[in-house]
Amino acid sequence: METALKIEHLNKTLGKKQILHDVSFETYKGEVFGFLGPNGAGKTTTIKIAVGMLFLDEGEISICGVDIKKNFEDAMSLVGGIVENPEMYKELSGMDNLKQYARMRKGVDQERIDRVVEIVGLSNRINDKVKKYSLGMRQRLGVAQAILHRPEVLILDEPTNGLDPAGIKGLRNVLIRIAHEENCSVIVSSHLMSEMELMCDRVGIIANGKMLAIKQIDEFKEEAFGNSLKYSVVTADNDKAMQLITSKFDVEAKLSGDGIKVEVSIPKESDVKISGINRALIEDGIDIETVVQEESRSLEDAFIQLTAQEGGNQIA
Amino acid sequence: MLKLIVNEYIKMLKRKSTIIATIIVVLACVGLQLILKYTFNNLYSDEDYDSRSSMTVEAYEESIQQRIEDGDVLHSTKRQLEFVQALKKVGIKEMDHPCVSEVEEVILSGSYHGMPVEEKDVPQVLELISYECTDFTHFLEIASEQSDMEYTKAALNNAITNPYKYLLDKGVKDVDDERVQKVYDIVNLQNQIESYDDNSADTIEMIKNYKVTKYALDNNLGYYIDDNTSLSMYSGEKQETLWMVLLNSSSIFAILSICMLVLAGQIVAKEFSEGTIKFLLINPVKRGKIITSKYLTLVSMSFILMVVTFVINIVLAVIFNGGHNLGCQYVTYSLSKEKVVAYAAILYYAKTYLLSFVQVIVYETMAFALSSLLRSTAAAVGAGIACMLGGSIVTSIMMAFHIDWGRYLIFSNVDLQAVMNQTTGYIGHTMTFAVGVIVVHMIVFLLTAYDGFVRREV
Repeated sequence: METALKIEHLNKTLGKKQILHDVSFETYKGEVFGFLGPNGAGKTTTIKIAVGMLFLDEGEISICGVDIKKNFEDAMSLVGGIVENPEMYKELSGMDNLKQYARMRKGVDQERIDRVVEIVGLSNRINDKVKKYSLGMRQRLGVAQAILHRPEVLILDEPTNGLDPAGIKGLRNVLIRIAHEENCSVIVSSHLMSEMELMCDRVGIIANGKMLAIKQIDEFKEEAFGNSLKYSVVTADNDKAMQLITSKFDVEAKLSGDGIKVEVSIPKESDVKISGINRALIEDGIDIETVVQEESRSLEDAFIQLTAQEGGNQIA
Repeated sequence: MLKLIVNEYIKMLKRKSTIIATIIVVLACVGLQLILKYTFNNLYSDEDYDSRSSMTVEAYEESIQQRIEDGDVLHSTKRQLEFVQALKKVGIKEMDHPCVSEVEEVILSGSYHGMPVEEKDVPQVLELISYECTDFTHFLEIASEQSDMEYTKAALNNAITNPYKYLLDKGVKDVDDERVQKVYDIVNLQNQIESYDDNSADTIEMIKNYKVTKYALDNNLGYYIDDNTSLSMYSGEKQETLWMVLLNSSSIFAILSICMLVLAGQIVAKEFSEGTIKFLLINPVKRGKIITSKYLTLVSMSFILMVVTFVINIVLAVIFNGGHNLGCQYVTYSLSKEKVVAYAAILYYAKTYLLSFVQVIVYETMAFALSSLLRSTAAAVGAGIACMLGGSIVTSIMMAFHIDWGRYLIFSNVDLQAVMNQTTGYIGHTMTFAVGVIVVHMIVFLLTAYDGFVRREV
């Protein structure tokens, strides 16, 4: 796969505080890369450095092989993006705003502008002044601005902020299409794992300025769900049920929720079936009220757990 | 770069504050012209002197007799009657005749050409005046015959450069001719220059006036303007109002400065306060180019506004005050070239306008630097206006306390027009010095603006 954005050993100190510690990662053309981290982890800082709004203390950044320090204008002509909130010139119409950006970039004609407006679904309101736009509409205009010049690397900082569910879905489809069909490297930052799950091919997790993991989304799923199936068993006598299960079967069982249920986890490779446990409980005279399969650990929990190791939920 | 400037213009012109600023500048222009028109018109109409000079001698005599009939028993009123009768004897019919003052001097002060005249000689002197005012050739003959009298000697002395002969050579027969007054001026100046005979500023000023007046006379210029036009006392001549108004309309630059200061304060800071800076900087354009295009937009905008106010000023001044003198000449004596320089007055006006315009550029550059440095529109505009107004107060206070290094402050130097006219109050304040101070400050402002924008993290 062709490398699009390459960040190597990035260090950044703002004021006295070191925001980024030796951050390195690569993104490839044709993939959607999720840049995931809790608030204050350094996502926006990394993105701002990559587009030249902040300056790097140490490290190298290149876009499709073009170093951003040595050849800023060439590197930036390959990048499109939204950083933080989509703030446009309020006194201008959406169209006039896009024309502003078209003048600063090469190869954007009126036809392309119209096409982009159509892609983001703003055709009906594009001639209204931006001050009349809602947050979602400004976000769409921001995306239109970002993809205007057919960039090789598209960097979107929390692009789903303020979008309605239909808008989020639409944006997701646009981004997946741009990545997979136009062979663009799309980088989306977010603090919502569930959002990433739906559109990203690969995810990098950052917390407290350190890259914790970069994995395929499937690998994350694998890890999160683990190798066992989990069930909640509620019986008339939970204590007795737990003792029975642990003594008769080679599975883990523990009381949870102050003893209102028994949590049973059965390894995937094990022969033990939940039906067998059921039968054993009934045969032993323990009345079963419910047996439910748990959505084992969600990706969200895995994300929270992973980032919690780096300083918990305190903003770094 | 051109496209960036187009972008900046679109952004600026869509902003309400720009439109308001432009309207304020245009309204200020119109208002200023109206104020000046009425100021000068009032001066023109309420002069007491004026009412006398517009009368005929007979009408004036009647008005004095009326006063006596009304019970005025003052001695001076009686002398006035005597004076009017003398005027009639000499043959003067209008009160604005150039020789009226000579007769007045003889009758009321008893002197002629500065020399005392005895009571018995009065008729003889009056006869002399009657020739002086009508027939120069005859005057010279009669005066030389009576050269034993002190006052005749004085009259001839004044005529030593032969202004009367000069006038005759020029074919001036009519004493009402405005050139007669110029000849008197030249003779007076020459006498003064000779009697002072030094290099003081006053003498140099007199020499300049002398050369300029002589040039105008030699070349039959008719009405012309010179360095004193804007400063000189308004003599009530209707024809002077046009250029008096134009040359006194420089206060428009204070308003233009403030309006440009507001635009300059916004042009960078607003991108930050509105958050649009991030969308500007993500474009494949170096920050240096962006800040340069912003500055060029500002300068060109103020230049356009300057030209607009220039045209409005001229058009309105012509409409209000009549335009027959618009094409007249500007005459000055260049000390460095040691010769008289004359060119179209409208060019001179453009030159003074450009000189005053420099302050607009300086102040807007200052606000531009503040805008880039502070990244807050309100702070940049506020600090800019405070500097502009406070600066001039500070310099005038420093002047009052004779703190000489005040001349190094930018505020003492921005008004190049004042520097050129030597009206800043600092001795030996030359144009070169002022330009030097301005250039140094401009470099500091521009570097601040550039550095503040290019090196700042967003």
